[in-house]
Amino acid sequence: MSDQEAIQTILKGYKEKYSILVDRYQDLVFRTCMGFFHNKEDSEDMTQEIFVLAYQSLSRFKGESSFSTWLYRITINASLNKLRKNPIEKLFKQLGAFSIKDSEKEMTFQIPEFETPEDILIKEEHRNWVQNALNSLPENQRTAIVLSKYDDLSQKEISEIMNISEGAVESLIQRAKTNLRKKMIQKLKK
Amino acid sequence: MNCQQCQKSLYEYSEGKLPERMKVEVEAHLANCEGCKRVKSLLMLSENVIQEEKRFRPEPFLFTRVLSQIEKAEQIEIQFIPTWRRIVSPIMVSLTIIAALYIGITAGSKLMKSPLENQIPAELTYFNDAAMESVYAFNEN
Repeated sequence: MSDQEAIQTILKGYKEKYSILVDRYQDLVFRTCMGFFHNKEDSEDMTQEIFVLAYQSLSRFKGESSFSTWLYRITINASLNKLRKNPIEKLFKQLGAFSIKDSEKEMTFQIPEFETPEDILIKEEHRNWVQNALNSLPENQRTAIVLSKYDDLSQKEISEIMNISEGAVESLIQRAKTNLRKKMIQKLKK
Repeated sequence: MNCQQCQKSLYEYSEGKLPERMKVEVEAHLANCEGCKRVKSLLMLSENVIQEEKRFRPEPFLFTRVLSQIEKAEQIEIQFIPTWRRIVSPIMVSLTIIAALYIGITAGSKLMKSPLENQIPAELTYFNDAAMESVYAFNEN
């Protein structure tokens, strides 16, 4: 069943058919959320919220773009709104460098047995540094870099989602990379 | 190639997007420059962090959770009472109770006989039986 057919069926009242779209796009939404939140639990909650939001807005989907593009837009807007609303929570998360659950740590880094606790701490610190560096980018640069790095989308696809030209996407990605590189150099100088 | 040029090309280098000639130049510079080598390793570590984060997958049964949240939201929507109704409803209820009381009292007073009708006639109201007893009957003298 195509996306459009599934949407028509759902709008007729067969809400259980929404499972087709959820199953098809859950990885896409979750991965993008990971790019914004860098945390499994938060991304999981956000994915759930986005699918509820998408269901409630389904009647407004005109089919002018593909469903995935429309869903990407909802994901980006909802994630950015959430981050804007929770600056204090975000700050606490950034400060809580070592608050990641053990299970998550195991999944994030497959640490070989010979690594010392010091190595693990360095990696953990580095992980937090990378996340903070990404989070400190301006919203449009962050969006472009998340779609490029986390979703492996082409500049054309990103331009469609962000509703800007391909040249503008390229410029955003370049500026994001430059900013990240500058932060790296600053870090090495410390 | 100087450090600035090398560092500018590092992202493309790590993504394998550099032309062969540039790639050779970057590698030659990296072999002799400790600073750029450190920037490169930091960049590679950053790429690793992103790759590791991409490996996460959502928990199973996502749809079940989404559906339950949708149904919960729909129920709240049904239960939602608009503000004007929240103000008007108590007023209407109060007015209905007052009206019901008024109708009840009015109808009751018209239909029921007054209990005063069965009372002792007015001329006997203050009649004192004790006063009628001859006092002397108790008088031993």
